Amino acid sequence: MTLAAIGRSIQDVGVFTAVRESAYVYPIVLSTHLACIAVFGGLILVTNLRLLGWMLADVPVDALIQSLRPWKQAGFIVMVTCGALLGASKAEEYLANPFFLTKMVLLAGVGLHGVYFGRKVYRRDERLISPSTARTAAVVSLILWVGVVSMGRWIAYYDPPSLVEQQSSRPAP
Amino acid sequence: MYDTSTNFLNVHEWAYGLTEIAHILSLAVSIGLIALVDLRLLGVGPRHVTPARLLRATAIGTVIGLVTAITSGLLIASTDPVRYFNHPTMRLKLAAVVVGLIFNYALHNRVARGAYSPSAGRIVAVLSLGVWTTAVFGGIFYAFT
Repeated sequence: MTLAAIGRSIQDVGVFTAVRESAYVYPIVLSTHLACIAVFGGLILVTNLRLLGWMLADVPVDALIQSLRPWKQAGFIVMVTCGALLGASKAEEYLANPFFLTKMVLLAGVGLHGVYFGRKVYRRDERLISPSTARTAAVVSLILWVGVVSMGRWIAYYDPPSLVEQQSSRPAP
Repeated sequence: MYDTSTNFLNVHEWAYGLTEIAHILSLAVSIGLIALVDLRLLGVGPRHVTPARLLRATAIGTVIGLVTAITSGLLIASTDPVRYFNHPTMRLKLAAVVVGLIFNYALHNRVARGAYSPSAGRIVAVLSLGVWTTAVFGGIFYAFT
C-alpha cells in the first residue's frame, strides 16, 4: 500500500471528507488552530524566557511553569485536535508534502524535548534545575516551535509535481 | 498608478511566504502575551504574580509583536490593496485590530495595572480575548469568503 493510498483512505473517512468539503467547518477549524497557536505560543514564550532569565526573574521557575501547565495542556489538546482534523481531511496531499512531513518531524522533536527535559527542567524543584540545562531546554524549545509554525504555513506553498511532468519524467517502458 | 505586479512579494514567492510566517509568529507573540494577562485577570494562570507585574513583564514583547504583526500585515495587504480593503471580512478584521489596539492601551492595560476592581478586570479580559479572537478568525475567513 502506497503512502498516497493510505492518505486517500484516511481522508475518505466520513468526518474528514465533511471537514474538507464544508464551506464553514474548514475555516472555523483552521481559525481555532491559529487562535490556539497564539495563546499557546504566548505561554511557551513566557515559560522559555523565564528559563533564560529574561522575564519575571524574581518569580520561582517551578511555580510559574506549574501555574501555566494546565493552560498549555488545554491549548495543546485543542490545537492538535484541530490540526489532526485539517491534516486528515487532506491526508493524501499532505503525506506527499515535504513541509508537512518536516512539521511532523519537528513535532516529534517537541515530544523528545519534553521527554528529555521534562524531569531535568520543567517538572523539577527550582533548586535542582541546572541553569545551563534550563537555557538549553528553552533555546531548543523556541527553535522547534518556530520551526513547527513556519513549516505549517509553508505547507500551502508546496506545488506537487503535476501529473504530466510525472509521466514525462518516467522512463519509457 | 500603483502596479501590484511589480510588488516585491508578488515577484518573489519566498518573500511572501516569509512575510506570512513573520505575521503568524508575531501575532502569536502579541496575542499570546495579551491573553496571558487576560487569563490572570480572570483569576487563573500564575496567581503568585499580580496582573500589574505580569503586564510589566510582557509589555515590551507585546509591543514588538504588535509592531511586527502590523508591519507584516500591511506588507501582505500591499500585494493586492484594493481587494483587501474592499473585502467585508478583511474590513471586519481591520476593525477588530483597530478596536483591539485602542482598547488594549486605553483601558485593558489600565485595568491590569490595578486601577479598577477585580470584576472590571474580568470584563476587560473577556472583551480582550473576544476582540483578538475575532481578528484571527477574520484573517483566516478572508481567505475562504
